[in-house]
Amino acid sequence: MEPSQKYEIGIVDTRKVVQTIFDLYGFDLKDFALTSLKRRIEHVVSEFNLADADGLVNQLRTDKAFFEDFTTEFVVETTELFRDPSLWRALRDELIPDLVNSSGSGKIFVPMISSGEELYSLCILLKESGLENKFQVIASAISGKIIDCVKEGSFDPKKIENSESNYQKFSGRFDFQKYYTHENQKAKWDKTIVENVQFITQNTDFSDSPKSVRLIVFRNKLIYFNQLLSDKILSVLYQSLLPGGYLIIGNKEKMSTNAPGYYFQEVDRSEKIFKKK
Amino acid sequence: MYKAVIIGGSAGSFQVITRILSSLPKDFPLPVILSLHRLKHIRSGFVEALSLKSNIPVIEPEDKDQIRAGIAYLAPANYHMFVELGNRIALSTEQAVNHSRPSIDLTFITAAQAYREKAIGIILSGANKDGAFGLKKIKDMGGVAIVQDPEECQVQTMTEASLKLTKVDYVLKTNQIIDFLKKL
Repeated sequence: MEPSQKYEIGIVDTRKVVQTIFDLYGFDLKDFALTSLKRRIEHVVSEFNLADADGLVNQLRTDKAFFEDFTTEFVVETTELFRDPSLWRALRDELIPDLVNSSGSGKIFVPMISSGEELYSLCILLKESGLENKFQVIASAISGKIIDCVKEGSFDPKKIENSESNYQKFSGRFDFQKYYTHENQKAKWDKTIVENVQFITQNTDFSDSPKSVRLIVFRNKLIYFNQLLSDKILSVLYQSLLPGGYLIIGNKEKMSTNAPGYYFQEVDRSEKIFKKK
Repeated sequence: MYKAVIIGGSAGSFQVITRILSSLPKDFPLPVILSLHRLKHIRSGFVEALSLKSNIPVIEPEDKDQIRAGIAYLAPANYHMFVELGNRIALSTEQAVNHSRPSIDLTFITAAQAYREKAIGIILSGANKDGAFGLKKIKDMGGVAIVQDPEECQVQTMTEASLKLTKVDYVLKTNQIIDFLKKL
């Protein structure tokens, strides 16, 4: 990508786009972190050849179906399978066995999926541990179209190399090639990996999050929210968890220790694993 | 009058950064924002190596950390690092830019937007053109653009790409960069 060729949106136009989306579709983006929000909007504008913010606003107003397309480009987050292999090892070797010992089974929640790598990694881990029938994985996304894309399993073949190297560092049980096909510059994860996942759509306020959850995998999402929205969502997720349940956030994301509404105990500082007491 | 020094580097820049950090006064009056190419899967070691000889604390910030004078902020492995409104760090996992995450361009562009004419951007040795556009952005917003003298660079690609794109304020050797910073 050439940053020099990209459209740049100002703050006033950003607010206009945010307001339009809220008015027409009820999605509140006003507490998203500004720099990434601007970059995501710029990305959408250039992906759909809309020239500028007015073009985007106009498209959002006149074409209701377009909003689903907007969401898929808006959330695109691009990372690899098993990003931070040490976290996935800790999950497989410590957290999941702890959950199995204490309860035997339960729900795992992966909120706000985008390109789906975290979900696929988790499901591979459960399958390889022989636990896919013990845990019900629930994944949420802000639109049905994102869910369709994740279920379909298409991904950028450029991710293969890093994903494979991560999988080896994770000490996965199989040949990584078992999990995808790569033909004619197109790559697809084996979609049976996520066949037992329950998918739900969810607004940006995370209302109607599942209850009685034992583990939430929520890495590198708080970075897209401002402090206000981060705290709001962490309280919602806190309510979702059973006592003793775990929450994992990105290794460079911050957890407030004095926020009202939630109090997580730190279990692993470098992997950012937290426990609800 | 300046608000931050933003430094980008890749292959051949480690020793230059080390020299700069070991020469700054302990009470350096500005934050130093470091966007350096690094191995994405190795999270630890780099910040420790830079800290060894540095006169100011070097940290890998967390998302939303406040940016403070006299501290060096190193972009963490496998994240882009932005300067966010309110003088805070913002991290991102969006796609690589110029095959890089962290991308120097993204750090520089966001620093240019946040600090405008009060930013000082410095591009060091590197084998990639990442950073050239970001430095131009700093210059366009009225900030100061500095490039390490390509003659002194282990790898010239990055500095030459920057010089090609921008009429920079200074082309300096490491010693001169240090002298410039000490006068701030």
